[in-house]
Amino acid sequence: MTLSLEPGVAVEPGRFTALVSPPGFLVDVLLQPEVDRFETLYCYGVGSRVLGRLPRQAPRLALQSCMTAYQLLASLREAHQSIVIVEYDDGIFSPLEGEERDVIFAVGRTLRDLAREAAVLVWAPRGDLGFRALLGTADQIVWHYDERPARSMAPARRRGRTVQATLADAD
Amino acid sequence: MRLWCWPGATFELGRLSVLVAPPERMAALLELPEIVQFHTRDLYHGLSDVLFRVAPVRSEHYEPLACTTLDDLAAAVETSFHTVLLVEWAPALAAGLDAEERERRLARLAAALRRRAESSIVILYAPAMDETLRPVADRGDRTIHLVPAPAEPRASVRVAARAPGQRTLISQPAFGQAEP
Repeated sequence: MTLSLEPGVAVEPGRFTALVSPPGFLVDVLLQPEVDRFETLYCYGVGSRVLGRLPRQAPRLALQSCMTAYQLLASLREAHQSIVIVEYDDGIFSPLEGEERDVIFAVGRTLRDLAREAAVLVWAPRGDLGFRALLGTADQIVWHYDERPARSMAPARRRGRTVQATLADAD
Repeated sequence: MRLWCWPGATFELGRLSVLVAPPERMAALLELPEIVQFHTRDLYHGLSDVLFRVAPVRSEHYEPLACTTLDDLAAAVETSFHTVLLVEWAPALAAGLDAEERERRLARLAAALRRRAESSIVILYAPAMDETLRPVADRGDRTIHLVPAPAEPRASVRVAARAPGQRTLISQPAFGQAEP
């Protein structure tokens, strides 16, 4: 069982995959027929940026809200589904400080262990600091990025505008 | 030591990484100061798709090397002592080999890359994943795909979209008939 991300790139057992993309891309992944056919676990944080965009919910899709990183860790350790998708929520990782940040690496190791028997995908809309810590254990990273330069905030020049006067001319 | 490639790929010692990205990303990697500060070997086949995109790297520590066959490439990897080893993959390297021979030589190359990756930063770069690269990528530690957002539609397409609907032949007056 594989979930296709790109031509030639798939989420499959044996390979822990991380995806950075706009939410619409994950919506397309969740609408693939494999999600209907196989038991799927979808973990998210306090709120989801993706589930509200789904036109329908797959019959075998189990939703799990995790309010803390420890709760996410426990959910992953108990997971038995064929497909496990985690929506990264910076809100549950950013409060961790000092030695507590070790739980991020524990989550990464658990995802890697889980990927031996299940197709595991972790998604984030952008590469936050906590998410980059998770990337360290990923076997495959798919990063969608926008290389177009940001639009200039300066107002556009209007045609027929008078030539700017120097200080000497202003006298 | 580690190399960082925008938007967020990190390459570090002890890990064989496969980078599938547009050539501009690899060119940006070559412009990092670490490339000239550390001994770097850059292997490519034929005409590099990356080197012409950057200003010539003028450093005695930087060594570009062209390889014509898979055996050349494997030998260049095995004899490398460099801190950074960049390999630009080309499917033509495996052209003309039967499946069994190709698999054997790719396995040798992957083993050589893995050995080098124990003590240096090894990046195997390709603009796209292909069937010859996949066996090597499967033996690597990590594969990173950097996918740029699709370009915006051209203005001419937008103008066409705003244009009134095209008339079909049926709506045209028949030949010889006067238009009402």
